Amino acid sequence: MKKILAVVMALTMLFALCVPAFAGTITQGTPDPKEAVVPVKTTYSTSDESFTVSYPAAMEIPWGTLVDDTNAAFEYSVVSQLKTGKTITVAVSQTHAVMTSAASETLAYTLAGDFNVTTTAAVVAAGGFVKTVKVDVAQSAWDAAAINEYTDTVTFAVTVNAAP
Amino acid sequence: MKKILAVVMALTMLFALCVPAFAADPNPITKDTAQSGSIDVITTYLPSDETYSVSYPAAVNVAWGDTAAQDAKYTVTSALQIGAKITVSAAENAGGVMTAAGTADTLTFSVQNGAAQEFTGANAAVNSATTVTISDFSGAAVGEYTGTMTYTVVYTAPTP
Repeated sequence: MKKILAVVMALTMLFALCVPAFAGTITQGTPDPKEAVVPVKTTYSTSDESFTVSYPAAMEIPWGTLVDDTNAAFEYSVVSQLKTGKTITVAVSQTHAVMTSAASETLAYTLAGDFNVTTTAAVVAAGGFVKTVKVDVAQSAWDAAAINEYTDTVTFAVTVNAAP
Repeated sequence: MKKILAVVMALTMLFALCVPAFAADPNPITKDTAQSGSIDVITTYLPSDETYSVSYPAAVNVAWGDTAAQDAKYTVTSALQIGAKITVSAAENAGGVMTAAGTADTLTFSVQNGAAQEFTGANAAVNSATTVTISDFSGAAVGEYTGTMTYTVVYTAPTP
């Protein structure tokens, strides 16, 4: 038992030694030129990465709006500072094929525009990645629908892609 | 064995004797002279008695996003002869540009308090106030960027 304790204490003292990062030294004996090149490095972790995907709070379509009307278009954007090689994909999808009213009436619609896009660089500055998704309701669908408030949900899903 | 040890001890005692060297004194003190005499005590030295060392960090690491000044000091210890000096400086290489593998993005660092500083005589672990700063991390992919800086020491001998 005493021998075991002695070994444990010796190892403890050994591991407690603080070995400093050795610096260099230039002395009178250093060959000329008396110069030392020292690296300056950044250190980082994944927590240093950041990104923001901004999307509309709601997509309100005035009655009768067609896909090429300005009221049918909604912007979303990406700002990011990720590790080298990483990118962001934003996938926009509709939950149902139709919008539904409180009276269970339906109004068919689709999405058009940029609804599945990927950034091309790890760093995207503000304004550098602004996309447009459009709500497409056909004229015939408007004509066939009772005037009411129809709703559905659109989901913006963000994926961070690993570096290749 | 005892005889050998005795001889060794005798020789040791013999060599330990300090026999002062009596100078040839042209003016000895006698009963007929002044009862005191003065002599000079003079230091002699060799070039090899002169020493200096300048210690510098093995590396300067900056955490991502940290724009504060980072310690990059050097430390001077010296024992120089009168009139001699060492001049120490620290400066960024390549304008402080830092690069990383896999990206064309760069960062830039700068060195503060690295201008040439002279040291004379004796210095006991005198630290400089040298620091390194990266003031802007925006626009660069997160990663390990590397640049280099150089510490230079120039010795100047006394003017004859």
